Amino acid sequence: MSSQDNQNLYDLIRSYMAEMGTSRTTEVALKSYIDAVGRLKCDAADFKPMLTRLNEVIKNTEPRVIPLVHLVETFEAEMAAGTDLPLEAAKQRAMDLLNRIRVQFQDATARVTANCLTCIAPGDLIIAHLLPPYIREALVRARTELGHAFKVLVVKQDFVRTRELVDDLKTHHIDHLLIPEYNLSHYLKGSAKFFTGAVSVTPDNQAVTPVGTANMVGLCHWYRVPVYLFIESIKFAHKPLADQRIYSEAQVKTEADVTFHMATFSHDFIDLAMIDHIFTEKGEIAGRSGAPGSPEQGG
Amino acid sequence: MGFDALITVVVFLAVYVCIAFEWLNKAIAALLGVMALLIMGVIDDHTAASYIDFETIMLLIGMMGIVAVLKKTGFFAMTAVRIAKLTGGQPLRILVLFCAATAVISAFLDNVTTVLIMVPIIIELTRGMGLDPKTYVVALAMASNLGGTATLVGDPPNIIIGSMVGLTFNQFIVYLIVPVMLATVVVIAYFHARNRESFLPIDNDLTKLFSVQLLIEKIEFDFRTVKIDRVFLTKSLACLGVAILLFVSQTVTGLSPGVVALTVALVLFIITRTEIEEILLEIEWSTLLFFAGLFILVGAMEHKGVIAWLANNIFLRVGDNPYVMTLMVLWVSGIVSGFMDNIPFTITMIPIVQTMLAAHPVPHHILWWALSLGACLGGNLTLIGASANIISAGMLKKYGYDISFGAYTRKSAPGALLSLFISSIVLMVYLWIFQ
Repeated sequence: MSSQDNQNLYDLIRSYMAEMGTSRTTEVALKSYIDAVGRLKCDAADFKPMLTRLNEVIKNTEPRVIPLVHLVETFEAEMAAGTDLPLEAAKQRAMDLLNRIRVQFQDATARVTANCLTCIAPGDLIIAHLLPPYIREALVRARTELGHAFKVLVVKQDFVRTRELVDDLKTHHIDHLLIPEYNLSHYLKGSAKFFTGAVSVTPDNQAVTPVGTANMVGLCHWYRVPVYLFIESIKFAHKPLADQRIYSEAQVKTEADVTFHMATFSHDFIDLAMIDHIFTEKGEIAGRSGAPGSPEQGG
Repeated sequence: MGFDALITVVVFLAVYVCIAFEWLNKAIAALLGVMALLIMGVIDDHTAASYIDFETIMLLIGMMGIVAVLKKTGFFAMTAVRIAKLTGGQPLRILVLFCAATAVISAFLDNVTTVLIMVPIIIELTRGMGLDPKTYVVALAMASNLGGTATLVGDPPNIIIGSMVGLTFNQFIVYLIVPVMLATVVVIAYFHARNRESFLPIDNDLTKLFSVQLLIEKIEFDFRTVKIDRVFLTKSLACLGVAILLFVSQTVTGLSPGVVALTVALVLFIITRTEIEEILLEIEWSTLLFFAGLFILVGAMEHKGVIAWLANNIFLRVGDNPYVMTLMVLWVSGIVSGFMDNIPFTITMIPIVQTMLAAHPVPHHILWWALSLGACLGGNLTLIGASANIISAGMLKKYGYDISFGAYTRKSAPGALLSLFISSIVLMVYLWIFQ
């Protein structure tokens, strides 16, 4: 793979994350890794260097896909133990390990969903932005399994993912309203709760989130609307915010006959002090409300 | 030729120039020409209306309507994504499967619609793999034009020839399937041979395999935005199947393709409860007006003796040898269609070929097959030869891959010439067998 090929892969993962979120990107990347190993035809001596090269590529994406990085590190460590196997056995071992890691990740995500479910009460007004699939699933299950009547306020921004959310809400007859981001202040009262996921949480107490989330969290914080962050503990990063490879893009745009340069960042970051409740697969950990534990405990 | 004939020729050439240099919208140019003839009293409005071949217009409206409904079902996106998965990201399989599928779909449905769906997926797939999408897109556009040549409903020149001359759907398939299939295989082989290094397998590179798997998953996510309504899709495909069945059984039912296409389209609108206003927006009215205008202009030229003059003084000069006549029609059509719109060219050529056949009959409609193959396959010569090429180049540009007229032609022309050469051989064999 040339550096251009690596760049193509980074671009692909970046666009994947933008459209599908971190959890689904991780899930699909692991599946793709397993399929790729299954299809690989090479000499036994080339297998290990190829694994090392791919792992390095995955670990250096922009922005970092933290859960994927952690899972690949686990895979690397476990794979290192089984050297000198014949090619087919080594491939099978790699696929088995990756499969096990994938199942563990799916299990953690399922438990976050279960914890999210406990936070939905009848009569809630849940403000939703770019919700990851595991929170969407919790909303659906709260309606279909628990029979809760609640309302979801969908703040429209990225319509690819907003569409998925609206589809789910419609399909399961969940009361909802779609609003533009700039109208949010009109709804911040009563039993409102803000639900969000995150790409990662850093040791310097920052949550890396999809663009637009920071504004909404700021507004919710101001109006004392509780903010709930649901995240798998594997998304807790080892390295600080500065090392999360949040990238910026300069675009030239023309609107209403005016051409201008616009700089956009790939992700927002939010101080954990602004978040009231943080839930991982292990339950609630430290949030502003003073719940037990700390983010570091989660990862 | 009298003064009226001279005026008709001047108006006709003026319309051609306006179309060729894109000074005016094609439909407006053709209708302006018609208005000029009416104002100058060269023809009257009743005569003008009688020149319009309504069989062609009905067939076009019907097929456009069926395609418009099919587009709403998500059928095209679903097919393209399935093909992408089937390729497994192998470069050669991408080329072969996408070209084959495009050729087959284009044989029954509009070429432009086919490339509009296929091209974005092939660009996403190839650029994500670090391959040059241009080669694949040019091959795909060529496959679309090749596939469209195989049937009566595949490409506008065939629709015009079939409707105006009265050839059946089956006759088109029987005579054109062999040259089209051979030409498609040769064109794909040519692209492979010329870019051999781009088509090497990727099974020995783990990172590339990983990228490809990830890419295919993403394409599936991106392009399956349209929800598949199974009932809606089944009804649409059933109607398309019925239409094809009725095209094939034309000699038994006596129903012309235009009547079949329009009737099936109307039934489809009713059973799928489609909003007719939505469908009407999808119909290319400017193309239909362009057809109508050209029919009138060529009808006037025929009526004023211009076509007979052209046939006698140019095309019949080659003598009465059917081999020479066939090759002349094929290659003149091929070369001219490479540089200008093949629709007006075909409409102009039909009365000329009729005159040639009246003077020196050629068996088994071979001169018509020569015109069809030339007009359709010639469209692959250059970027401007066919609508599918222009649309494909436009989509390449949208994705950041600019392709110039020269660059496109360098990729497409050798394949187009090869396909015309193969058609020549097949037509010569037909003549040898049937004479």
